[in-house]
Amino acid sequence: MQLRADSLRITFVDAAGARFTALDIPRLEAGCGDSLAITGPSGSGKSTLLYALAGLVDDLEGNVAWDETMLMRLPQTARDRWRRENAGFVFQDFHLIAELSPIENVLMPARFALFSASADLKARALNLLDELRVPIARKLSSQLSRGEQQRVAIARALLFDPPIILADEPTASLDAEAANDVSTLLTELAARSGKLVITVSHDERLIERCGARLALEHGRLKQHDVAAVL
Amino acid sequence: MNPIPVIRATMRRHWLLFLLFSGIVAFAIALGAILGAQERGFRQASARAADKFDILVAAPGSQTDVVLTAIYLRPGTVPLLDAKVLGDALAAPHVAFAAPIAFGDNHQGAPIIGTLASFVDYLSGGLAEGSTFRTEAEAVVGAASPLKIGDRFKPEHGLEHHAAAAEDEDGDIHDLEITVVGRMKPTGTPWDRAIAVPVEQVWKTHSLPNGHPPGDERIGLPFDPRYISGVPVVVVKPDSVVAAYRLRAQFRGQDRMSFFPAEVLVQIYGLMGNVQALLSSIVMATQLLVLLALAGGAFAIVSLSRRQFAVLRVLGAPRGYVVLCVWSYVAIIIVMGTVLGLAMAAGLSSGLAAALSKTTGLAITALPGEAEIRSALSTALIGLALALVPAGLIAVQKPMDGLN
Repeated sequence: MQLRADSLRITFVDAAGARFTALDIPRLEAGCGDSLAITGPSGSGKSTLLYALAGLVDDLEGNVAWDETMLMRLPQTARDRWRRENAGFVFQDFHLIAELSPIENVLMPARFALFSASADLKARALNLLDELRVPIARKLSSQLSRGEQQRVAIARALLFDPPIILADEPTASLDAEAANDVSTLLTELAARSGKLVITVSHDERLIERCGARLALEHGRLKQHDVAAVL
Repeated sequence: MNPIPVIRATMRRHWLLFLLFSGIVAFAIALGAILGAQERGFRQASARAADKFDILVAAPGSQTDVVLTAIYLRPGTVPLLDAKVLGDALAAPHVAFAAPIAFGDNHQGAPIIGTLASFVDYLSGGLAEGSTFRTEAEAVVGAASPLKIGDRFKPEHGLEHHAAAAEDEDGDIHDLEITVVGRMKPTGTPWDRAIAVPVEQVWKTHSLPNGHPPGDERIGLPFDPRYISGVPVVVVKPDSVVAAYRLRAQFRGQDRMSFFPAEVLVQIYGLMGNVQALLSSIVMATQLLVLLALAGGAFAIVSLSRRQFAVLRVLGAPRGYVVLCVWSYVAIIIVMGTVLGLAMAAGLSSGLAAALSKTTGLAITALPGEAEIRSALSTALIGLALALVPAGLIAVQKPMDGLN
């Protein structure tokens, strides 16, 4: 899937009435197999850009096109469906539902449209957990280690085998070993599975593994170091 | 869509609040259902108690007092009817029977009623055990009386129990020993705790002519018109519906009044209805306040999980899914509360009816019926509609705001 974003701009009016630009990206392109790290200091607009690319920022000006789909022109429900089918999310704090089992968490996106997940989908969820070495016997996700929880979150992101993976600080709350595992997983998803992986990160080890780096400062592009980002 | 995993997780996370809210809803629903069931039970029981008292004839005064005294055996101040009225009633055409009802004494608080053996038999539908009274010193007790056949007692003056002397200040004789010879079948009325004796005994005890010439020890009809005394109330049973209206008119005059007890009950029920309507309004207002509080509480509970719902939205959940999760969560509280409330009402109503029966002597059966169930369902439906408010408020939250 090909990303083409033009003239992305988000502005706010602060309490004093002054106009404040949170994001100003003239152009951004990326495609299948790319792994792109968005970096920058806190408050530089990294996460805002990530969620804007997923159609989650209503105040966004400009165009976000995924292949032929102009995301911001879709009605809300269609954007929700597009996200469910095309983008898998991984968060810093995993955002699993602690009271549910690992398999129930992985199958959660299927519940948005179906009452009962098909046998194939359940088998896929189990395979993903198995491949990611998650102990599925645990009754509650809260009983897993942080690294295991993040791997459950990655399995959830991969349930529908989406072409895009969007990760927001996926290694920030993990120890070094677990962070290394997750970094490997994400970059391999791009290199081996041909997915477009966009990750917000401060983690240099993860950033270095990504094929492209997009550094932001005050919402603006500070540097880009590969051809995928123009 | 399947909101069950999210609902289950929210219930587990806030299980104490879930139980608390369900309990509050149950209490509010039970309150309304109990009130309705008790009111209906009391109305039916009191109407049933008056069934066999077709027409009451009494001295002019309060009809309500006469009904309360003659049917429900409440202490009252009903003046004596002229003795001639009883004679007239006994002799009137189209009268199936007429029976005097005379009060004045009690035994351990149980009223002693002077009347005819035939009226006791009619009221009871035949005796449960023993035989009817055949002498002035015999009595038939109500089904719930603690007295047993063969027990003996001396009447006390007045309708309420006091440490009475054998002879009271009016010089009435109360040293007659009465023997219990029979027991009535249950009537579901205060008569179940009463003691029925020949009216002659009450007249004699109060130093009045006893309906028969001196020296004549017979009891019951026919009375000698020269020796009949006054009584507070005469019950008249007409032989037809047409005769009922004719007799009611016939026994109205300057020295007497005649009426159907139902006329008085309709007035009482009208008053009770107004009070009940007021109480129902208060209960309904309470239930609505509970539901509003529930909607607010649910919003607060679900707001604690706002980040979870924001994540679901990021993962692709449509707003409808979030609405369904939150609404279903509140709906489960309301449905559980309603079912629990009706069950509580069923359990408590029987206990309360038993306590009320003990106080009034009426056989009150009170269980939540169709009206209470319909009212509870209406309240629940309003609650389900109100539940859309917190559901909508959570669903319109922007995912980015929830994540932050």
